[in-house]
Amino acid sequence: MEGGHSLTITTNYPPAPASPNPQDERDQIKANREFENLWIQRNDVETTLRSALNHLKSCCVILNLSAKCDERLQVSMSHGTTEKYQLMSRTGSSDSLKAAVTLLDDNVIQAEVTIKYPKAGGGFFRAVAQPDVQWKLQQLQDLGNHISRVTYNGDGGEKDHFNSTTGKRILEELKSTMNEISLARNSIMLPRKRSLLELCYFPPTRKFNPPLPQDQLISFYISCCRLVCASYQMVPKTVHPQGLSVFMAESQLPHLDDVIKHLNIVMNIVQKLISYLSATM
Amino acid sequence: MSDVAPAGTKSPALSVPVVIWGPKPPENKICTIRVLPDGATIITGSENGHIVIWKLSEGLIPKQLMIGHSQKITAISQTSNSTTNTRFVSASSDGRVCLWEIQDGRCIDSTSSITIHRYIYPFTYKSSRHTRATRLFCIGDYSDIQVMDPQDLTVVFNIASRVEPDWISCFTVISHTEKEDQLIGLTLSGMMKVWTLTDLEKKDPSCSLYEDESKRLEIQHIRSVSYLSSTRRMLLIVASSSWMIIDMDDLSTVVFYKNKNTTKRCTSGYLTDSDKVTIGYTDESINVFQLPIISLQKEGAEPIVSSNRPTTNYFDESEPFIVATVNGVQDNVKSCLNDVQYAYLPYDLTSEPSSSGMTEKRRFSVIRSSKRDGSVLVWNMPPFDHQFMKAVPALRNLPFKFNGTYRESLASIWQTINESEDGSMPVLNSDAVCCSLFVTSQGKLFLGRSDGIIVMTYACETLARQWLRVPAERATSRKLTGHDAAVRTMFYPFEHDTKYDPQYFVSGSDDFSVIVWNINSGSKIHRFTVHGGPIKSFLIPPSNCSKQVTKCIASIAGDNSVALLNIRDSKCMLLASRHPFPIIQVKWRPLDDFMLVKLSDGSVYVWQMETANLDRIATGLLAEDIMAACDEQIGIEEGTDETQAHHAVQLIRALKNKNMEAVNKKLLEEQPVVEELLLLIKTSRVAVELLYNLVHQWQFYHFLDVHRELILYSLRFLLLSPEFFIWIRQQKRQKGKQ
Repeated sequence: MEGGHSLTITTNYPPAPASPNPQDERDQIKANREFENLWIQRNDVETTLRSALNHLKSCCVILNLSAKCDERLQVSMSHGTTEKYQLMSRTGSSDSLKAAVTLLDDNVIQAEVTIKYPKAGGGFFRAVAQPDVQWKLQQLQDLGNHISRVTYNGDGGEKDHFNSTTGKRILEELKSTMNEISLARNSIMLPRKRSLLELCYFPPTRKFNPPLPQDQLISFYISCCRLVCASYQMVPKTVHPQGLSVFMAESQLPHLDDVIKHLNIVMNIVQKLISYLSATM
Repeated sequence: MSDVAPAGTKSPALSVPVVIWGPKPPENKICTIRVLPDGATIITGSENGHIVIWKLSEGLIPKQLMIGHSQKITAISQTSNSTTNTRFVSASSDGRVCLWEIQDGRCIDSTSSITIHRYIYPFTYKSSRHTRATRLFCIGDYSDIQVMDPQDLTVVFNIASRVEPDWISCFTVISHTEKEDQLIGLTLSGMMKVWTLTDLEKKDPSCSLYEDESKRLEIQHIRSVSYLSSTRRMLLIVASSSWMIIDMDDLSTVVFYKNKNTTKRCTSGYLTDSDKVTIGYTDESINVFQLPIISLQKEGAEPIVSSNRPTTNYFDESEPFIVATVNGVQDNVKSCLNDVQYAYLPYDLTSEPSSSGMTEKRRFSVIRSSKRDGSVLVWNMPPFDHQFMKAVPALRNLPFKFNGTYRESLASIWQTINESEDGSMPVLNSDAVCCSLFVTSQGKLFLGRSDGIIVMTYACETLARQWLRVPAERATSRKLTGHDAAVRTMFYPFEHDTKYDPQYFVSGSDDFSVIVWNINSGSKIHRFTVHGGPIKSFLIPPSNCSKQVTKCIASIAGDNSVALLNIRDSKCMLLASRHPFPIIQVKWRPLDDFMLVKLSDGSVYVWQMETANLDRIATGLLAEDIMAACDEQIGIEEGTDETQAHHAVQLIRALKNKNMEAVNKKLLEEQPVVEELLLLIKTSRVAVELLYNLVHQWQFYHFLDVHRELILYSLRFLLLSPEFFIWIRQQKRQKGKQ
C-alpha cells in the first residue's frame, strides 16, 4: 500500500496566446490584399482585355474602321454601303417635316427635306442637298475615332511579370479605356446640336437646291442612336414666344444600337475589373 | 520641409499664399511637356491638372506649381514663337483652356467648351503691311484645325477640308522663303492634307480655309511629323511601328524603317540634321538614326561636294542604322502608349557665314518626360556631324550609349531636401496622417491617421508648436479611437448648415464604417456599418427636405453606395447600393422626395428618400435633363400646386411598395396626412388604389380602427366606381369555380 507520497497532478497548459497586435493584423490584411491583387491580375486581366478587344473588333467591323484601328485586331478592309433612311416625325403633325437621308458610313451623300412652309407654293417646301464639300456627321466620326483610339490602348503586356506596380499601371490604363468608351457612347447618345449661327456658316446649309429661304434652317444630328432632322423656322412672336418654331423628324439607325450594345458590355466588364483591382489596392 | 512659394510681386491688393510641403512630393504624373523658344523654360502638365514650370540652366529646377485645372492636361503651348514670350496656354480634358503668365504664375483668362485640344502651336503671319499677328493652331478631338486668338482664347476661324475631314493627329508648318507658308496635317487614318496659309486675316467663322490637296498615305497610327527647313524637301513621319521620310515634291517614300522590336512603339521623332533622325519610343528610349546618304540625294542633281558633307553611305550601309541611343526602362515593364512625351529644342549655337554658304553648327536637345516617375530628362545631343562619323572606325562600335544630360523629378528633389520632421508631437507625422479637417468655429484641427486614430488638437497651438520655438509644455490633444483602418474623410455638419447640432462630428474610414463623435467630449456616439466599401465623402441634403431627411447626412462609399444616416436618432434611413458604376454626382429634389444619383456611365438612379425605394433609372438624354431640372427646386420651401401634396403621395407610395413601417409612421405620427389624403380622395382615383391595397392586405386592423372617417369616405367613392364591380364579379367567378 502506498503512503507518504503527495500526489501532485500537474497539467501543462499551453501558454496563453498573446492578444492580437493591431499592427500585425494590419500587416496581415495588407498581405492578403496584395495576394488577392496578384491573383486578380493573373486570372482576370488577360481574359477581360481579350473579351473587350473582341467587342471592339465587332464595333470596328460594323463601323468600317479598318483604316483607323489597331492592326492587331485584324479587321479586314471593307467599304460601307449606301443606306437611305426615311425620317418621320414621331409627335405632332406628321407632315410638318419629312426627310430622306442617304448615308455612307459617316458621310451624308444626299438629303431631301419636305417642310410645311406656308409661304411656298402649295404650302410645302421641298429641297435636295447634294454637297460638294464632304458632309460628315461629326458625331459618327467621333464615335469611330474614339473606338479606334481605344483599340491601341489595351496592350496585353507580359504575363508573368505581374506585381503591385503593374497592378497600378493596369488600373490606370483600364480607367483611361473606360473614359474613352464613355466619350464614344456620349458622342451618339447625347445630341450635339449646332447653334443657329453655326448652322448659317455650315457649308451644306448653302448647298440646298432650291436654296433654303432666309428664315429657315435645317440641321441634322444624332441623338440616342437616332438620326434627327430639325427644322428651325422664324415665326412672328405671336405664334411662339421665342420667335422660332422647331420641327423634328427622326429615324432609327440599327447598326448604332449594335455598337452601343457592344460598348455597354465592354464598359461592364472593364468596370468589374476596375472595382476588383481598386478594392484590393 | 521647404517652402516653394510662387514667385510673385507683392502688391497691397494681392495676398500671396505660402505653401509648406511635407516629406512626400506632390504627385506629378507628367502627361504633357513643352519647351519654350527661349530654351530655358520647360512646362509640364500632369494627370491631376497641375502644371510645373522648370528652369533649365546647368540643371533642371522646378520653379512654380500652378493649379488651375481639375482634369488632366492635354496640351500646353507658348502663345508666340518669340524668345521673349512669357505667356502660355494650357488645355485640359474637360475642355477648359487657361491663359497663364509665367512671371507671376497668374491665370489671366480661361474658357470652357466641349472641345478637347490635344496639341497647340502658335503661328505668326503678316496681317497687314506693318503688323504681324499670332494665332494658335489647335488640333484635338474634333475635325480639322481650329485657329484661336491667344489673347482672348476665342476661335477665330477654322481650317477645314473639303475631302475627308477628320481628326488631325499631328501637323507642322513649312515655311518657304519665296512662297507662302504651308500647313501639313496628318490624320489618324493616314491621310495627308496640305493647306496654303494665305490671307489669314480675312478669314472668319463663315469663311474657312480649305486644303489644296489631300493624299492618302498607307500608314497606320501616325504619331508625329517633323520638317527641317534646311533640308527643304524632306518630311519625317513617325507612326507607331515604323517611320519614314517622304520627299515633299512628289510624295514618294525616300526612306522607310520598320521597328524591329515590336514591344516598344514610336512616340515622336525629329529631323535633327539633314541626314539624321531622332526617334523617341514608349519605353523611354531615344535612338538617333543615320540615314543612307544616297537615298537622300535628289535624282539627277549633282551631289554637293565639300569637306563637311558626306557623299556616300557610311559603312556602305543602305539601311538606316542607330548611331546613338539613350536607354529606356527594362524590357519587361509594361509600357503604356501615352506614358512618355517628347519635346525637341533646336538649339542654334552659332551660324557663321562662310565662303561656301552658311555653316550652321546646330545642337539639338531632346527633352523627355515620363508619367511613370514624373521625371524630366534633358539630353543635349552632341553634333553627330561628318567629322564625327568619319572618326568612327566600324559599324560594330555603334551605337554609342548616353544617359542624358540632366534628369530631374519632384521626387528626386524631395529626397535631397533632408530636413527631418521632428515636431514635438510625433503623432502628427505626415507619414501617418491621411486627412485633416479644420473646424473654424471651435478652432480645432482634426487629423485622421492611417492606423485609425483621429487626433483632435487646438489648431493655433499645434501649428505654433510645429514651426515656432515654443517652450515645450504638455500639448493638449485628444485621441479619438474607434476606427480599425485608415481614416479617409471627416466632416463637421454644423459648419455647412446650422440646423445640425454643433456637437456632432462625423468620420469615415477604410474599415467601411462611419462614426459619429461628440466634438466636445471626444466620445463616440454611434458607429454606422452600413456600407460595403471605404467611405469617400459626406454630403448635406438641402434644407427644404422633409423633417426626417433634414436630420440626416449622406455618405458616399467606394462600393458605389449612398447612405442617408440619421445622426440624431442613430439610424440609417436609406441605403442606395444598387449602382453598378462609380458615382459622380448626387442631387436632390426635396419637394418630390427624390435623391438623384448620377453614375459614370451617364445613367441616373432616382431614389425615394422617405420610402427607401428606387423610383426609376434614367439613361441618356433624359438623365441629363433630369439632373439639370433639379436646380429648379433649390430654395423653394413649400410645395405649390404643381408639386403634389407631400405626405399623401408618400403614403400612397408606401402602400404600393408594401413598406408597412413607413405607412404606420405616416399615419400614426403625422396628423396632417389625413386631411390632405381626404382632399385627394375627393378629387381623384386615389381612393380606389388605397382600398385595393387595404383589401389585399387585410391585416391592417388598427388602420381600420383609427381612421374610420378615411375609410368611410373611401368606401363611398369606391362603391360607386366601376372597378369595384369588376373586382366583385371576378371574386364571384373565382368562388364559383372552386
